[in-house]
Amino acid sequence: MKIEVVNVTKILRKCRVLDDVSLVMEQGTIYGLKGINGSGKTMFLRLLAGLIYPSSGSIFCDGKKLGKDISFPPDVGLLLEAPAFLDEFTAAANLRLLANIRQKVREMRIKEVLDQVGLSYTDTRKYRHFSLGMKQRLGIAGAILEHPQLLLIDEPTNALDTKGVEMVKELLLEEKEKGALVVLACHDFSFLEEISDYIYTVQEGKVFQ
Amino acid sequence: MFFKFLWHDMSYGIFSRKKKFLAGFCIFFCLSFYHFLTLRIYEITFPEYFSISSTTADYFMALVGGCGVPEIQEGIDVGLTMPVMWLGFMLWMQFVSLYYPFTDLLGFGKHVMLLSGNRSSWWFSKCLWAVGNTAINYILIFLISTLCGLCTGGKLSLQTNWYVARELNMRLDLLTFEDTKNILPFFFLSLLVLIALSLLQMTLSLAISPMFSYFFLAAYLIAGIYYQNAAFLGNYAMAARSDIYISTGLSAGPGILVALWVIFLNVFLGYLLLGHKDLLGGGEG
Repeated sequence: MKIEVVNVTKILRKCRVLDDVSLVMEQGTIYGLKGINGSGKTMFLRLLAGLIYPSSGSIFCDGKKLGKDISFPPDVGLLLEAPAFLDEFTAAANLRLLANIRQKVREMRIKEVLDQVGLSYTDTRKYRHFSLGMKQRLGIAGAILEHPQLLLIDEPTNALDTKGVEMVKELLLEEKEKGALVVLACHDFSFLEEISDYIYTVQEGKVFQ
Repeated sequence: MFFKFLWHDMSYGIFSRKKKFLAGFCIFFCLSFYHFLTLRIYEITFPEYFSISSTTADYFMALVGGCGVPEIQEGIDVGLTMPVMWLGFMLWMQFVSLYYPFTDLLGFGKHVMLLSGNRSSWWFSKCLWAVGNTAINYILIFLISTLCGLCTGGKLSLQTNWYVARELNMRLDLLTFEDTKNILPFFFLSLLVLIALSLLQMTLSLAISPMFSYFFLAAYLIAGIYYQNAAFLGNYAMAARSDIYISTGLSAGPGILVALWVIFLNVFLGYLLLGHKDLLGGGEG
């Protein structure tokens, strides 16, 4: 997948959150976004996901205009802010619900991805009883479940211990190897440096390398 | 894809909401019981009423019947008895449809929407969810009032007695029936109006926040208590203001048309609004 961001400006409540951003992102690459709180990193990810629309400018996914030709990127995995799953369901049941939508993956993959993120397929605990770290792990599992072509991850290391951070690093690199375009926003600059092919700074609405 | 959304909404948005059903049961059993207490007071004040045996339909009407139009007698406004039970019922019915679509939109539903690749399936599924959720909660309240009626000695019947009109502050000389009247026509009209109001609330929530849309709906319903007018849809959900029961009431036929118009308009407007809405979450780092 190739993403082209062309002169995108986003104004929210009279505030210029993103200002005339243009860049091109190619598949099989990890792009890191760094910036202070409120700099517009999450907004940029939301724009790429098609969840919000640019005030001006355009975003193209493989030449198709987001919000006009397509509502959302065709094959996207997303982890934005806090992971959101159904409280009354187990980890496996939540992933099963997601997998059931496009039916691209089978039960074996659910088991595999839960193992990869360090959760148990047979765990009978409901999501609402999960710790923050477990929720984050499940969020990552949900995002990579179908090996999406576009992976948008916000603060992947939140609530994770050192082992968890290593696990995320390995998984994202694995997805990159499979050809995914990964965009991740993170406060942890050393993590970004280790994993990213390109690092962009988001500052006062501008995005630059 | 649409049916997957619908299955998700029906199973998670309705059938797993056991606490809300339990809360609804407790609230409406107690409110229905209030009718029984009113009956006992009448028994002391007007013993002649008690040649009639009360029915389960009386319990339902006392709960959702609303109130007659405030009258002016000899230049003096005799005022209005606020239909607390009706208002409680209407606000509850709006409340049960309030938050689910938006918690879903900002949570798990967002994943589902992204994976499905379009926004419209999400919206149309939520519209059907609103219809199903309103109907199920409404039928539940009907069953609760029936159960309460049976528990307190009421006869199982769909015929309501004329004396309930007094409880609803209706003028007895304007009633369209003498002894009893079947509640089914009103049952369906009221359900249709509730569905229209829940869709109106859902559409408003897309433009403003769910909480403000709820307050707006509450103000709209309260305004309708003071004015018997077709512009206030709540009037059609009051038996005490329907020409089925009172000769000066609003006609049920136009009520059905207005409710259907509101339903279709909101489904369409919501579709347009969602198509242009920014789906924001909490943090904006």
